[in-house]
Amino acid sequence: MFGKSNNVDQLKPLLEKNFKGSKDATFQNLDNGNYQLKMIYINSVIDTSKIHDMFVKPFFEVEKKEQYTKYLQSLGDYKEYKNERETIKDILHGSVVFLIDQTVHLIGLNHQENNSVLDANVETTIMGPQKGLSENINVNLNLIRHRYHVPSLTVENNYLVGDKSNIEVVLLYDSEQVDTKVLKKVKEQLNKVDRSIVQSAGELHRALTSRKRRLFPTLMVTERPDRIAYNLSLGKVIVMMEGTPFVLITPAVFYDFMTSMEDFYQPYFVGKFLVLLRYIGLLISLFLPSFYVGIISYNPEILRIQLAFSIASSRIPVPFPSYLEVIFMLIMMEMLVEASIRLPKTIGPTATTVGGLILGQATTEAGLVSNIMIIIVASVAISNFIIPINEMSFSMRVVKYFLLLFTTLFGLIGLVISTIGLIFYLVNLESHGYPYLKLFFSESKRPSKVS
Amino acid sequence: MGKGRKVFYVLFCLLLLSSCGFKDIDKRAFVVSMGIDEASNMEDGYEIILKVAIPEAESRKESEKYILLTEESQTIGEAVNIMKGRISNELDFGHMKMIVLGSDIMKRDLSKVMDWFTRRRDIQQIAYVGVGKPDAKTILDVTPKIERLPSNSLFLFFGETGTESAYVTTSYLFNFRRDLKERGIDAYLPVIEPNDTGGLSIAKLMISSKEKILLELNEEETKMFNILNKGYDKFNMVVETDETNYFVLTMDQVDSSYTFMNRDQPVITFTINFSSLVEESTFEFNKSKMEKYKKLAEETVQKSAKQLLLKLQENNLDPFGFGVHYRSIQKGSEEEKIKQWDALYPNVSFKIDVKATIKGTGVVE
Repeated sequence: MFGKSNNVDQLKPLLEKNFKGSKDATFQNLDNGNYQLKMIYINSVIDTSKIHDMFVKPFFEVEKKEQYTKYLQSLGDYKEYKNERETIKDILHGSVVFLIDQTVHLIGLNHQENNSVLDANVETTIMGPQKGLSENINVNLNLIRHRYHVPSLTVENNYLVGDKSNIEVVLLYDSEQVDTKVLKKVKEQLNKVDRSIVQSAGELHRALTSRKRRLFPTLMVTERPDRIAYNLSLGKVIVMMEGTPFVLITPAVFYDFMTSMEDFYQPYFVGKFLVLLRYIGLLISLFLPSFYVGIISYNPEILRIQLAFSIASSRIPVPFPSYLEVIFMLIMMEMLVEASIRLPKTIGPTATTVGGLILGQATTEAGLVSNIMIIIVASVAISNFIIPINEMSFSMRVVKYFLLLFTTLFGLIGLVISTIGLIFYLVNLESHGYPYLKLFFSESKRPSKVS
Repeated sequence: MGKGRKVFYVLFCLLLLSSCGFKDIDKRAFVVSMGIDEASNMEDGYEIILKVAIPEAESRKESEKYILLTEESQTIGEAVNIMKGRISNELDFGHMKMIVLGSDIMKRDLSKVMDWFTRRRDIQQIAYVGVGKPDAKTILDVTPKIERLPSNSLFLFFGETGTESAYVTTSYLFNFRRDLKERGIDAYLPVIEPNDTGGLSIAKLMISSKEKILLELNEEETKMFNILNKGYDKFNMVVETDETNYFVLTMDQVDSSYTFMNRDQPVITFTINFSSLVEESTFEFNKSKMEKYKKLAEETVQKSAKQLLLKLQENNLDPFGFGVHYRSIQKGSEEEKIKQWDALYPNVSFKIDVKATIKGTGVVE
């Protein structure tokens, strides 16, 4: 309640040293005849329209200093003074500092421009909710609270990550369902994060996993409030971050990356069919290119004779061995995908038309690749996009090259062995204590549960 | 990371298991069928014919082009090796699904001829084997008009993906080889002949015993053999009612099995049950006489089955494998058992029980 007398003496020069040179820092002196105070804030991170109504007007109406102090303390976002470092951080996150005589008072008046709720366009559903999250953490909390009305929903926000970015990170969990071990691990890792800049959920993901070089996502990145609510009910921990419309969900196992929220909104058998379809797509996008090389160049007797002949005849004009043909086309396909992601939305369709149609047609006409190869590349590309979580589909894009390498060198047995190797690797992974290939994340089989 | 390294070593060793055969599909020459004939200017030599299909660059039209490579040599392996030097692409036997033995070769010891096929790892054991008449080369050189890939019509004949006929007997390489070695059963092969329309006909059967007795069955006997052997149900049967009238039954379902009774004086009883439909007749069908028609049908089947079995017995041939059956129910050493059986077989008596059902007289009222 009462700031110590030496605080202001120390704080004032420190604040002046830090912020005086900056154009958007405001040092405001108020005097109503009875007493004076000093207001310090950065006007670009706070809601300046409220300053007058909330602070200046009452200041001239309240005659006594003590009364005005009480008024400040009764405001919702009042924070007590802790130390100089915390104060500087608070100012940067949108607090107003009041120096009244020898006391320091902090009022949070955070304002962020980007608080509109965005359409969910990374993970779209046909019949599910259409809105995703916003870039504002408070709006996001509001959205989630409105989907998950449970008193045990806990919000913890004492984390700032990045030495320079100092981004606010919020942990969200259902305290009755959550696995305490996971929660403890996440907290430990959040405290250990040592990066100067963290700006996206994916970056935070990299900072949160102990493995430095990772191929598969072990935390799920999502933008859907309905997925967040569903995962909260399963006892998972949500890591939210200021300034990004994506959150992290942990623990996340392989199976989670293959589900779309749509599965829950469709009739039972339709949902199961969609899941099955996705796994078939996964297998096609992983194995088809290497299977092609393995069969064409090592074991053509696997095919029916009719198919073997039509492949052989379509390959006659092709001057390269099969693996170069496959790699050539796959690289072209990846470039096409990358190009259409990075291009402005208005040029995107042109790139796909030029790349997909004209290039595909022309390469077969020129006899650089076989017709069958075009079919394979197209089906690999399509089936890769069927994986609902983007991160997983990107990982799978990379994995198929490992399989292709081994198959090119060792034939179908190379494919078998590299697949075994892939499974070894996946089994070895874990997501905050959960084995990565755990199939069903049911509540009854959870290893430890808060009782 | 000691464990990870161990796993890596194990995986690496597994990789060494792979063969070194990187060869693109368009650099291979697929042998689709293979023929063996007697060498014309060499004693005990073989003339090997390979039918190599050539894919054409125009992929929309399936190719019917092929090359016949022939070579005479004392051994099959040698002949194939010489032929490798006569074609620029690598010879690939992975799709070789038809082996045609010339009818002259049938007189030789077949287990020696077939040895090459059973040792090579790239020969599919599900390849079909047949006898080519007059010789294998003639058969391989036939291009039926219906064929879109070289030798494809032979595959369709025997694979039953195309025609289904009671006259076509399928003999797989693995089965043929087994029958050649096994005591108490004789190997049989379909006979392939060129016909006048530029195609191939398969309607006969050739049985070869270990004592090099060859017997060719005619069309009707072949049909009966297939019915008795596999319960083949895609056949028709003419039943004569009197001098001028007859009706034709088409089979719907056929079951055939035999029981082996009395070891010292064996009686083999075949039970054939079939249900059928009338497909053609020269007279008005009378419902009240159905029993009579049935009886006539039963007698017809009985007669031709008995004829076939007796003919085989006379020639001391046993393609059904009664001898194997006998060996399985008798005690003693294998040598003794087969000797006993050889003595017994000429005296075996056959009984045939036929039970016919005529389900309908066709869609006519």
